[in-house]
Amino acid sequence: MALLLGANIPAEIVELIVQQLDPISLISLSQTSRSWRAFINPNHHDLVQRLLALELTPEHGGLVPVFDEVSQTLSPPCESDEWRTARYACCGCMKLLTHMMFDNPAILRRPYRKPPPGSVEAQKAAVTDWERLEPAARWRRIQERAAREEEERKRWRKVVNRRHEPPPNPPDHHPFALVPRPRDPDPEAEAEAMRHLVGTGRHKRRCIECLYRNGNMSSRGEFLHDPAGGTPVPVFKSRHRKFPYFLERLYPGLISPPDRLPRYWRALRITSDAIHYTLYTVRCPSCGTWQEYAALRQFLCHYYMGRFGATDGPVLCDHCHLETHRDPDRLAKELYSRVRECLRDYRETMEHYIRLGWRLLCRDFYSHRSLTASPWLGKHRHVADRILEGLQIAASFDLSISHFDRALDDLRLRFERYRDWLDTELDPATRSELMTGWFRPWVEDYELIDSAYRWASEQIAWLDSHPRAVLDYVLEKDPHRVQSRKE
Amino acid sequence: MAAQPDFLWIKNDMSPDGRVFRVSRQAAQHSTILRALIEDFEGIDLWKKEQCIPIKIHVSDQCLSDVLQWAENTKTAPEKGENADNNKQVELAAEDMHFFREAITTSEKLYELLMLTDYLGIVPLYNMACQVVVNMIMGKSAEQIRRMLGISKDFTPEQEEAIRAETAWAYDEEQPPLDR
Repeated sequence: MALLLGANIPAEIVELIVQQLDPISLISLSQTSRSWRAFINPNHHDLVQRLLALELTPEHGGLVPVFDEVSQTLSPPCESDEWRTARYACCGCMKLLTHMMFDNPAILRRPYRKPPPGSVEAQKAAVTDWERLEPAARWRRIQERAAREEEERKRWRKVVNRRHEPPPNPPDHHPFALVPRPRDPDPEAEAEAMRHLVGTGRHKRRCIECLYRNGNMSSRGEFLHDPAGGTPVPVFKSRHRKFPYFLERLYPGLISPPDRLPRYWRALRITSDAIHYTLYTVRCPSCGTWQEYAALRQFLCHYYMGRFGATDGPVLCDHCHLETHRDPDRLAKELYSRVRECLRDYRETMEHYIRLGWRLLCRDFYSHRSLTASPWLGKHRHVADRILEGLQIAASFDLSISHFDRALDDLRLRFERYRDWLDTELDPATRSELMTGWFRPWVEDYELIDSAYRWASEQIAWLDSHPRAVLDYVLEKDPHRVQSRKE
Repeated sequence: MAAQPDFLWIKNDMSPDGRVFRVSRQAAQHSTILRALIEDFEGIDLWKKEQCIPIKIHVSDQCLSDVLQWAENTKTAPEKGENADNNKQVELAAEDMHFFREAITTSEKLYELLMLTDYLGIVPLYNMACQVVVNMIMGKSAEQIRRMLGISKDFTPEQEEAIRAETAWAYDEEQPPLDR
């Protein structure tokens, strides 16, 4: 039994039913039979609407993140698990793609964001705007509606743009601090404006492959020059993410960090639990696959110097390098060196933290802060003499230790003695004055820093005994791929 | 002048035995057609059984009876000038859900209901019937809709190819690895 079409039911009834469908079901229905296809006659606009509706469904598009325009933060943050299944619609190639196939503007700009439930765009995705008209008349109707909506949006944009006027006074707390925009005095009006504005330009969203193919790199991405004369490498800025340490940004999951790592000492914020890195997506000139920037072996050099260093051949991803040179041993050695360098850097950072803390400690006991004043903790110098007894200290208060590994246990014992004194004997006022700046994280995190140093040493030893581990990991996990490899 | 009787009569012209149904004045108000007839022919012999109103579409007596019963049971006064509203999502009340569950058990009955409510202009029931069909289709793939509505796939190879291209949205083939 065929309900509706073919059962002499008036076309008006069928039309009414079809008009109440959502854009996804409309296309599904049009794909059932020739008569339905002829009746609905879906055009490109209907297919775009279907794709945009799909990206809002949990099973196809994953999460709908919320972007706070005042704090400029995403919720949930990019490093959360929900983002792994997040997919966005590219209306160029008409696909739902992982968020890594889009640059930041395509995900974060107001018109390109996924509209939250309750917004005008989300409501539009619930019911199709299909009408039974001749194609030309339908297009006219679509354009008229788009023009009307644009006029409406212009009004709402004015509401939001009022907030963008510069604040009356420059920030006085720090010249480099980002200036938070003042909150709108009428948050309800702004919320209503956002309801009308978010996600309204998603039909213009393009993935990085479409931008690259259509030659729209200039405004959104850039080409990196290959010093070996190879094809320039297109690169797009991607999400800003937190990582526990640098190697995790390069090879996620290769070497799991311990449960707790010490905080990082930063110039402005003093400490932070993780390091923020911006991810970049590059297109391997050889295989044409989009990958995270770390897939290029020249990444480290470029990351630090802003340009690729001299290489022994054109810029290639690891897989293409293997295919071109057919020398796994050489690639394994390069990857091993790279990871070892990262671990060594991390260990050196920990060593620097430990040494810096000891230097600050010595300075407090022995250094004159001004020509006339005596050392700050000069009256407790006997404590320092007891704690530092037997250690060689240079004039700059640096520890003179040639084999740092061997001195770790001894330093830890001395530190525990120092902290006992700090916690039990020093008067609270002096203590709180002492615990400022970088000295505070040194005292609080000493054990963690010590453990992190030992952990990095263990990982280096493990890596030395498994020189092919990184290559095996790269070939097995393909950790930088953000789209399927082209055959 | 004698008071007007409270019933009018409807005859299913297309059924073999031409069964006649009695409809109360109140129930008739749900139908824009019957309401217009009552207003236009008040005082004429509209209320006599011999003057019954013919139904000239193919619907079963059972369907006609169910619809008239729904009109009898529905006390909410119909709004004057109520028309089918395109793109309007209808929410079914509990008693209406019960009606659809009990009376409209097959697709044929749903089809008859659509035809009859359209013919008589019973807009609320017509909208609800449309919504039931919409709900049946929503969220289903083309194959599922085909199975449910008994549609046979009759595409030419070229059309098949075009449809395949339309479905290319279906993801990049693989999930990205790890937690990128």
